Order: sequence, then C-alpha cells, then structure tokens
Amino acid sequence: MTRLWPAGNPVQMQLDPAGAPRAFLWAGAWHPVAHVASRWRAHTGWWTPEGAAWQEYVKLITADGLLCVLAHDLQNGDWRLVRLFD
Amino acid sequence: MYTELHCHSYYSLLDGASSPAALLERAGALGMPALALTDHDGLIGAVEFWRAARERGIRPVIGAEVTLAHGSHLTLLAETPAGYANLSRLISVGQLAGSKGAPVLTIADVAQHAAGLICLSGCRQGAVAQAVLADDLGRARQAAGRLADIFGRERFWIELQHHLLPDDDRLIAGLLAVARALRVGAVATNDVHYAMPEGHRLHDVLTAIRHNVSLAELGPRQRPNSEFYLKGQAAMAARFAECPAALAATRAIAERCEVALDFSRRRLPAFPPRTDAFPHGIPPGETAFSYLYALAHAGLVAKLSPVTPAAVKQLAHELAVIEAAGLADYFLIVWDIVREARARGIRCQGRGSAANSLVAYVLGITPVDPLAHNLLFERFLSDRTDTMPDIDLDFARDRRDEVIAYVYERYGREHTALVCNVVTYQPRLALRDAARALGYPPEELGRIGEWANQRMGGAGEQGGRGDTEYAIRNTPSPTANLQLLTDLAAQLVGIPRHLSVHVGGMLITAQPLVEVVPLEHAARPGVVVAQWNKDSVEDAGLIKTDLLSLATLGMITEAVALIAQRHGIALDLDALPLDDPAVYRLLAAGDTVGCFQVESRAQAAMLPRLKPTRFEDLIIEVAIVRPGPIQGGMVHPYLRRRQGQEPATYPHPSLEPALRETLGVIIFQEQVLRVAMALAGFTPGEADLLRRAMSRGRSAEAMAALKDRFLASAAANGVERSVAEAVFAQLQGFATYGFCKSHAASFALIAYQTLWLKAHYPAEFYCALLNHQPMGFYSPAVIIGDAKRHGIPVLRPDVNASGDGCTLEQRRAGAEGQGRGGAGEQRSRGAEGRRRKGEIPPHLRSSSPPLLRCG
Repeated sequence: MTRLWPAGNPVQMQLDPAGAPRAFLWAGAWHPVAHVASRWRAHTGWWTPEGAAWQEYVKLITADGLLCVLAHDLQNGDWRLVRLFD
Repeated sequence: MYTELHCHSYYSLLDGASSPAALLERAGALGMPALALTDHDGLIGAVEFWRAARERGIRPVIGAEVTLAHGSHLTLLAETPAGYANLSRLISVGQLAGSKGAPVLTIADVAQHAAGLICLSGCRQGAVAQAVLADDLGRARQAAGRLADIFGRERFWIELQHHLLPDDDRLIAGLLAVARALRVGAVATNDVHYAMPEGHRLHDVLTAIRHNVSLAELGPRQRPNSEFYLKGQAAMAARFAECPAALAATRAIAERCEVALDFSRRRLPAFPPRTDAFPHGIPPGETAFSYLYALAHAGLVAKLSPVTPAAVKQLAHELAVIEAAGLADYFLIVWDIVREARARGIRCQGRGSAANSLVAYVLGITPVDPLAHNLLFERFLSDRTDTMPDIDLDFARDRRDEVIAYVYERYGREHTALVCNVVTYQPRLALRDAARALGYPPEELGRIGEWANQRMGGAGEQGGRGDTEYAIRNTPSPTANLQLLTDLAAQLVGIPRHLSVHVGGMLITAQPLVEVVPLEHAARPGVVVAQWNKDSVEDAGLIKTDLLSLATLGMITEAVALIAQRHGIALDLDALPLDDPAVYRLLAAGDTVGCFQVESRAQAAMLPRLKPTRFEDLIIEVAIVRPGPIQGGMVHPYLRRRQGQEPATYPHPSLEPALRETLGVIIFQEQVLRVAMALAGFTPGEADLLRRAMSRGRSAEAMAALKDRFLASAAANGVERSVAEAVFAQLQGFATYGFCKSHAASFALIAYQTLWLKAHYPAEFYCALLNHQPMGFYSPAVIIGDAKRHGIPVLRPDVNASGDGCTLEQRRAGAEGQGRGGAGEQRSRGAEGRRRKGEIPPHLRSSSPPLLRCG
C-alpha cells in the first residue's frame, strides 16, 4: 500500500554537510536514512498565479525499512514527506 | 576541467534561448577552455560563434545535432576541415530531402559523410537512449554498434546526460552497460539549451511557441526542470561522481577538434573557359587575369578616349591590386552577369563602393567615371588582401529573377545559393507570442496587437531595443501577470524566429557550396538558401554579390522604348552629357515627382535651398538628404556653408584637399578614408579597416585599439592631440551615417536620367512611371496630378481597350487645338504590353502633347 500526500507532510530534517538527508522527524520519531535510491527535480508552473513549483524529490530507504519520497522545496527550503511505500 | 560538447544557441530556432555570446560569456566565467555549438540541423550561428569564441580565447568546437528518420537525434562534432565539409554536406542532404523546417536523414546518409566527424550517441531522443529507456538493451547495443562501425571506436562515444529526471539513473546505467559491451568510451554532456538557470523560462516559452500552444497546454512537451543550463566542473562532477572518466573525455575530445571557418582562400569559382556553349569564357591560352586585362584595356579605350596618362596609371594600379588579391575571376563573373543581362535587354548597373573602381567602369559594370568624380578605389578594394570587395548590381525589377536564374545555370546548383536573412522577433510579434504562451484568450491577443500597433507604430518594427522595451512595459492591459508578459516579450525581442531569403544576395563558390555552408529550402518553392546571413558570409571570407531589383530601371527601359516607337529615336541615356540646364531647372524648382532619389518631400524641400547646378551637387544631394545624415548633423552645416552663412572651415589644414568638395563637412565614407590617411598617415587599407570597424560596430576593445593607433600616428604627423581626438570623434559620428560617394554617384546618374526624361519626354516618362507602380514615393493619383500640371492631358481608362497598363494616344493630326480625342486614334503600347500596333506614320505624328490614358 502506498500513502500519498500531494501537499506533503512537513518534516524536520537532519542534513549532512553536503545538504543530503541524514534523518527526518515524522510521526513523533526520527527516521535515519539508510540509502538514497534516487533524486530528481521538477521545475514548472512559473507562469501561473501561484508561481513556480521547484522541487527536488528524494526517494530513500530508512534504517527501519521505510521506502518513502521526500520533497525539498528549492525556493523556500522546506522538506515534506510526500509518499510512503509499504 | 569539464567541457560542454552538446550545446544549443538560439539558432536552434524556437528551442535554444541564448545567444552564442551569452553562452561563451558563461563558459568564460566557468573557466571552460572550450565549448561546442551543436544547433539542430544547422550551422546558422557557426561563424558568429567561432569568431566570438576565438576573441575570448575559448576553443570553439563546431558541430550539430542532426535529426534522423523517426525523429531520433545524433550529436556530431567536426574534428577536421574535411569533417566540417562533411557536416555541412550532411546537413544539406537532410534539409533538402525533407520539407522546409523538417529535415530528415537516414543512417546511410550519415555513414556516407562520417569521415572527419566525431559522433556522440545523442540525448534521450537518440536511438541508443530510446532503446535503453524501453528496456531493450539488445536493440540499444545494436544501434550503438552500428554507429561504432560507421565512425570507428576512436570517433564514437556513448553520450551520458543527467538532468535529475526520474529515470536518468536507470538510463545512465543502461548506457554504461552498452558502452562496456561494445568497448567504446562514454562522455558526459548536458544538452544545454540556455546559458543560465533562469533561461529555462524563455526556453519554455519558445517551446510553447514552437508547438503553437500555451505554456499550460504543453504538458510533457515541456522539459520537466531547469537543469539544462551551461554547467561547469563542479555541477557536472556532482552528477557524474561514479564515472569521472566521462567528464575527462570531454576535454580530450574538444582538444582533438580543429576547424577554421575562414574560406577566404577558396573564394570564387574559376571563370569558365571559352566553349561553343559559352563564347564569352576565357579564350584558350589566356588566364583569368590576362583576359580581364585585355577586356579592361579595350573598355578603357572605348569609354575614355582620349585616354589620359592618369587613367592608364590608375587602371594599372587597380589591375595590380586585383591580381594580387586573386580577384580576376570575380570581376569576370560580375562582368559576365552584366553582359548577359544587357544582351537580354535588361537594364542594369552596379551600385555601392564598386563604382569607385575604374576597372569596374571600363568593364561596363558601374556607370560613373571614378576619375571624373574624384572617387577613391581603396574604399572598394585595398592592398590588404583580407578585405572583401562587394559589387552589388541593380536590375530592372521586372526581370531580375531571370538574372538569378542565369547565375544558377552558369555556375550550377552546387556552387550557387542565395544568402539568408535571420528574421528575429520584433516587439509587436514578441508581445503577441508571449501573450499566447501565457494563455491570454484570443480577444485579448487582438487587443494587445492593436494597442502595440498604435503605440509602437514604426518603432514596433525597427525601434531600438530600449525604445521597444519601454513601449512594451507600458502596455495598458487590465489582466493579471502584466509584468511577466512584458518581461517575456522583452526577452523575445531579438531572438531568431526563422530564416528568410536575403533580397538578392548570392554566393558563388569554388568548392561545392554545400561543403562550406549548409543549404536549406526557402519558403518560396524551388529556392534554396544558404544558412548564413550577410555578416557570417563576410566574416567567413566569402564573397556575396547582391543582385538587386530597382523598379526605376524597368521604368526607364519602358520610357526609352516608348520614345523609340513614337519618335524613332534610339536613346543611350548612359551617354548623356551631365550638364543639361533643363535638368538643373527641375531640381532647383523642386519639381521632382517621379524622379529617382530626389522626389521625396525632404528632397523637394531641400533642393531649392541647395540648388544643384552641377552633377557633383546632385551626388551630394542624393547622399545627404536622408534621415541618417540629417541626424548625424552634416546636412545643416553643409547647407549653411553652401548658402554662404558660414565659412568653409577645416579641422586641420591637411584635410582641405579631402574635404574641399563638401565645404569642410565630412559627408562621404571615402572622405573618412582620406581624412585618416591625411591626418594619421594611415595606408588606404588601414583607413578602410577603420571605417569598417566604425560602421559595423565592432567591440569596444577593437575600437579603442584603433583609436590609440590613430592618435599616435596623428601625433607623429605633428597634429595636436585635441585636434586628432576631435577629428576621430567626428569620424565615428559620421561613419554610420556617411554615405558612400560612389554609391551616391551611381544613384545620382539614374536620378539625372529620370529628370532628363521628365524634362524632354514627359509623356513617355509619366506613362512608364505609372506602368511600373508601385514604386517611388507617390501614389498614382499624385503622379497623374503632376502629369497634368506638366501639360500632359490624362484620360480615364477606356473600357473597350484590351490589356492593362497606361498607354499614349496621339491626337489625330489636324485635330490640334480642337479638343481632345476623336476617332482614328492610333495607339502605341509600352514595352510591357509587347503588342506593338506598328509605329505612328509620320503624317500622323503631332507636335502637340500626346494623351495619357490610364490603364
């Protein structure tokens, strides 16, 4: 089962010196990142009234075996959890 | 240091967003030692890019991204001059095989033209990448294997691109597997479409325009992110940490590519030898030069008897320069075009700086005697062999296309093409296309277009970028996103949209033209155009000949024919003495409607003040009564001096010989040369370089260097620095507006001929003038009014008459003074009608003016 949060669940991040995710805080617990599977970026909608959506997505596996996708807003720096695979 | 090998400029039309200069600027900032330009199916910007790169000390790599059948892409780089020739040929094959804007190549075409080229397997639209994305590694290996066979393992690389797209990791893994399996190298590129990250917006807009939809409707046709900018070592290393060899390969490949876009050594085809089919060719036993020499001397005797020592000396000097520059064939080619045109009854003459040449005059190419009019050969051709001469020819408008066809026939389609014009976005269309991209509804587009028309008017098409940006930014539209619309429209201005055919500019080359510049279809069927515009052609060292059309020449032809018919006189207008008082009376009165170059309102207003009394005055009149010189501040000083309101002064005594004819005011480009020569001791060649640099707006560095040289030389000549600086500033100011005297002289001659016709044969003059409309400054109604004022009665069209066009009707002899018209009129048709009803019998010719019947 996949849980999908289009708007994303804001999460607090621990980043390494290079800016990559080391762990994230969600549902009351810190989830350390074991492996980054892939990263991709999307940048679109800059012509709309809402403005540009510029995100970097990180698909990762946590130490406790969660496969999820985090979205990093490249304009305001927010991180959100957008997808969780079971 | 990473080097970008796959890069699009805005010459990838409606796709790339940045100029070659902007890309090179970015490369320079990144410390990149080399940069490739790989526009789609074309080398439009190659010369511009090559020059600009070398000016910045960046090694240019010339290439292209070609489109194969089924829309797959392949990246090709020219490694050697032979490779460049192949690339140009290959692009031409693809362009000419497809339809306009949709070139298509087969892999067999590529194989035939592979020598000297380096091949990269392409972006995700390449065949290899497509197969990997479809999870068909077998097909991927096959496609790559084929390319490796064609190019060899030393000239083929698997191309890797990582734009942080979701499947890029998988794609790269697959491509690396293919590379390993085939034992070929892998190289990283970034498929650059804009120099800076922000350029992704303009790129998206161009994509929307290309697909003719709004940005919101683009969907998957929009590149998903903004990673397609010119990245340097650091950013690329982050993407390719796992395979540093792919980054190192970029530099290695770039360093192998060595191509020079300088074709000046192989300029024009050899003029053909004499054969039965071509009796005007070079006679057996002669060379191009010896033949030219003979023709020039024969012409000298024919045109300038008695031949003066000065003429002989000048001819010898010019021929020596022509021989040294290897241009004998060029002169013969132009001589032959003019000869053929005249043989077919097509009126023509040379214009521009060529009229400075005595050789051109005695060969019959140009119409004015440079010795009689104090012209300067070095404005046309100097002893510096790196300057290109430019002989432009005017032909009667209605028959110019026949001349172009003759040139294609004489030199062959492989060696001849028309030069292109790069059409760029003008403000009005920029605003409209930007609005469409932003999703403005059609009604809005109409309103915006209307507003733009009113507000910008002429400036909408030709205004400077600053004016038009100002105008665009003041669009009064109530809808939202106005700022965005105006920003995008302003960014679009100046971006190339498509290629059109330059009016009459033709390239003729020695080696097959397709090996020098790619050819493609023009919009007009059957017309093929080279992908370089006139600046690129000149910078590449090629010679372009402009075959232009002038309606006035057709009009004169008809007038002369009418006169021959009605009066039995065969006129040779080119042999008219240039001092007919009737002509100068018309000029002094400003009575010049219908007369070439001197009929505009500005001219008519100026003529009574300038009062030309000699042909030299007419040359000046033609040169200065134009917006440029008026703006440049030369007209009023000259006028005041001519009217005696101020004395003729000279910035420095040494300049008096050069400026005496224009009362101390710098008017002619030839004078710019003479001033540089007199004040700073420049050689004629150096002086012409100065003039060109000033008028073509070369870089600030180039101008500064020239200025230093000028000031130093002037100082060495004992000229005060302040005087030298003032003169240099004057030259700079006038260089853009200054008119070429020889060009003014050629045009003044045509003006004189039309004035003479108006003065002596007004009926034929007006008839021919009306038959060649639209032309000139005035509408037919105004011309008819002028005809009546000159005593030519004008009749309304006769519904019973067949054919169109105006004709002259003769009053029946004996009907003079008894009113007009009557039965038994004889008609004579103009040359256009080509239906002669026979000449008017002498007993019916009347001395009263004929009637002009409108068509």
